[in-house]
Amino acid sequence: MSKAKSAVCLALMSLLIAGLIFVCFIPFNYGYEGMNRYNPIAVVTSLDSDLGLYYGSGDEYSKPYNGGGYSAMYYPEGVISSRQYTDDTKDDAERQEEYEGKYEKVGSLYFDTEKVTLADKKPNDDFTADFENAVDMLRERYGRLHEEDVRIDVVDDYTVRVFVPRAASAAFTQFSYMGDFSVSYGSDASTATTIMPARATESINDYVEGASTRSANGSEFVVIDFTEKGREALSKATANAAESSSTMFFKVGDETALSLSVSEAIDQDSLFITSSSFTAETANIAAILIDTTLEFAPVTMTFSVDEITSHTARFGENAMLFVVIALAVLVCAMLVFFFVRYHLLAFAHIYTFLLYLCGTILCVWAIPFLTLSIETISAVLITTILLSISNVIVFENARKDFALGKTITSSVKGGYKKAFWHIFDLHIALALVGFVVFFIALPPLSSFAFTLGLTTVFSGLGSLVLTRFHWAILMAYTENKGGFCNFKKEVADNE
Amino acid sequence: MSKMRKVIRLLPVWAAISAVIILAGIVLMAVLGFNTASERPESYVFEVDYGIVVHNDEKLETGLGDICTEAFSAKGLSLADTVKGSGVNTAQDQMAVRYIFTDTLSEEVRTAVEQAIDSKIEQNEALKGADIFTVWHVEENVPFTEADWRGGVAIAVGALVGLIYVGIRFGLGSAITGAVLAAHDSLFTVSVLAIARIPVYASAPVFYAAIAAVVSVLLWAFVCMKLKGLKKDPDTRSLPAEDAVEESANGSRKCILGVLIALVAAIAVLGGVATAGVRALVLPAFLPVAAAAYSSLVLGPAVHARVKALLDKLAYKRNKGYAGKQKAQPEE
Repeated sequence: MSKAKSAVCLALMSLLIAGLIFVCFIPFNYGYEGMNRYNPIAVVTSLDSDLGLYYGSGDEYSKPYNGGGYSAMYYPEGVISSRQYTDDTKDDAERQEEYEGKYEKVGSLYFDTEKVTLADKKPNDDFTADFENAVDMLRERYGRLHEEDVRIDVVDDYTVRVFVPRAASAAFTQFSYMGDFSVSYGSDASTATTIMPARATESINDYVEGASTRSANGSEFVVIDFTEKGREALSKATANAAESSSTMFFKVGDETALSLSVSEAIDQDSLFITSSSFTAETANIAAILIDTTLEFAPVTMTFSVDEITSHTARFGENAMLFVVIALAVLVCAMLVFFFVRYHLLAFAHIYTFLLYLCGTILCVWAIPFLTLSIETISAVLITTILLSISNVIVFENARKDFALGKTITSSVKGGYKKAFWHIFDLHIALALVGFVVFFIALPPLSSFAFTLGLTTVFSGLGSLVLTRFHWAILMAYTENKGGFCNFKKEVADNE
Repeated sequence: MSKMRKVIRLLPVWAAISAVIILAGIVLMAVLGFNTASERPESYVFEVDYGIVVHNDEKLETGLGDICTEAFSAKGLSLADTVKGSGVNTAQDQMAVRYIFTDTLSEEVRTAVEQAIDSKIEQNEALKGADIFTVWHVEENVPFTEADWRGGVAIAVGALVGLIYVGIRFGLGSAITGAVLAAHDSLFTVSVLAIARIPVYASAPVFYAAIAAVVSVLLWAFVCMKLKGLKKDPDTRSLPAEDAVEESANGSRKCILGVLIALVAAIAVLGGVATAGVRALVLPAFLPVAAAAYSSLVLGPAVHARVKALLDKLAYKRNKGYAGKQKAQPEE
């Protein structure tokens, strides 16, 4: 490559890298008296709920997601917390008296003895069994969200605390709905006629097969699949819908999970229900709610959701900062190794590494199911090592050829020729492992696997294409090409 | 006899060590599971709720925290974690600090601590009348199991697919040994976790198993490349299985050690610099790296020498009597 071409390519590549680093990592203020702030991609990339990082824009509410999440308490009907008991009876002698007669304390909870039968300071077996079923139902529902770091705790034996990262906080209320699934049709939810199941002797499973979600044209749908009998019931109920439109209510217990305005007769196996307020998450929550209610034995217990609390990241508010410091130390160690071993040729590796790093950050930011977590960072670390070792293999092959007396151009060619299939095979095998694991596993392992697959592809392209290009454009200037790469000719040395 | 030759011949010893550890680990996993102490499967939580008066005054908030921690120290309670939260929606200005203990605490101790804290709050002039409420909770974590079994299946299928590619590129023997090593490293890692009762997060064992499988496939690929190089070279093509494996294991050692040193350095730096929670997740990752080091430097060559010898023997039998030119024979 001629010097002029190399200079242009080097300038363009340097500008590209500088631009990417600026966009990805450098925050700055702008506008009148610096009132506006630009948050780089690394700052606006979501962290998982374990890692916290407080930097970036000013006030708390405009900050990007900094880890942490929300917890809520589920209280069965007839059970209140000691805090609520105290608050309700404070400075109110009449209510104090009423509560003393009505409630009995078990541990730190108060049980309404009219609603829950107690024996030996414990709720009866029916209540306990129903509570256990409810906990199983909650575990199934939250488990199906496939969100990282969801946590369920049974608190004081008869209440439940659920922790979810930010993305899943809409589930708290919907997932508290317990009871049978039913479909009713009418002008309002309270007076609507139940059409599925039509008779007490029938099961809802005779009518409805299940629920799922689908996206089309930017809208999210909850899809409810009906059996043949369900389709008939639907068709019969909506036969006159063209004359008088009405609403179909999909209920779990007494609560309406979904509703659908009907203005024409429906005669189909599946209903696609959407709403302007639907997001992918809320549609998924509604589908999980219906599906689990259909699959599991009905829970008769009803819950109230209370004490919704926001929490900071589990690993500490500045956990990410320390991770970044550790990564900086590792990058410095890598640079020292490359500069000591390969002198200025290290720049070829650095250019490739920076492009790889910016590409990775942009992907983690842009791909909705990826977050910056220890798992994704581990995958990036593994593939950074892979990128480095791939470059080392090529550089060492070229060093050997150069030592034997070949020209530097011929050594580079030979180095790549010898190493190409080795590097190619390494990357393909690892990328296959990553992507296959991603398709089967659940978070957080799937995040690790996807990042591994993706960054392995970047590493392969980086070492086989970019490093070679950088090597060519960087070396065009120097007269002493061997010295540039810290390569020595054995023959010349002997002479 | 070279060191590597000795290592190759000691296969029964390596196999026995691995089998004992893996079997013991499987039994312990089945009986006791993992030590998920980092996840706090059972805990006692002292919750302090307070309102805007305390929350908006840093001194009051710190004073309240001091009262609690002093009371815990006085009773000899060791705090496992502290979680702070703020109310959402109806109780915007309500804060909750949850002091978490993983040791078993009797009801007497809990009551004594609560009374001591309540009385100190009462005696504190600045906190008198503030909206403060204290309560003990007993909490039990409900585990999610789907992620674990799906993770196990994913690792097995992922490693298998990766090794099918290795098989296509480097031959059946390399794929068989690679599969054995990937399975060994994953199982070895989770077994040591179970035996040593190393405290981990609930989702961590499957994560470490995945790292073990990935590093195992990566390191084994280095040995496979050297083997392929030997097969291509007319001088070394007809080497006996043990010689070929010895040669390739020695030839790939530099690359393997380079990757291992880089991985160990990454874990050490990340674990050393990070916060306690990150450290608890990162430091046990030494295990999968150690398992992969053991399998690629010791067990792998020993297993592959046997596998290659067997496959070479079968190939020889199959080709016996064939008088034609060998397909891979270069023109002289």
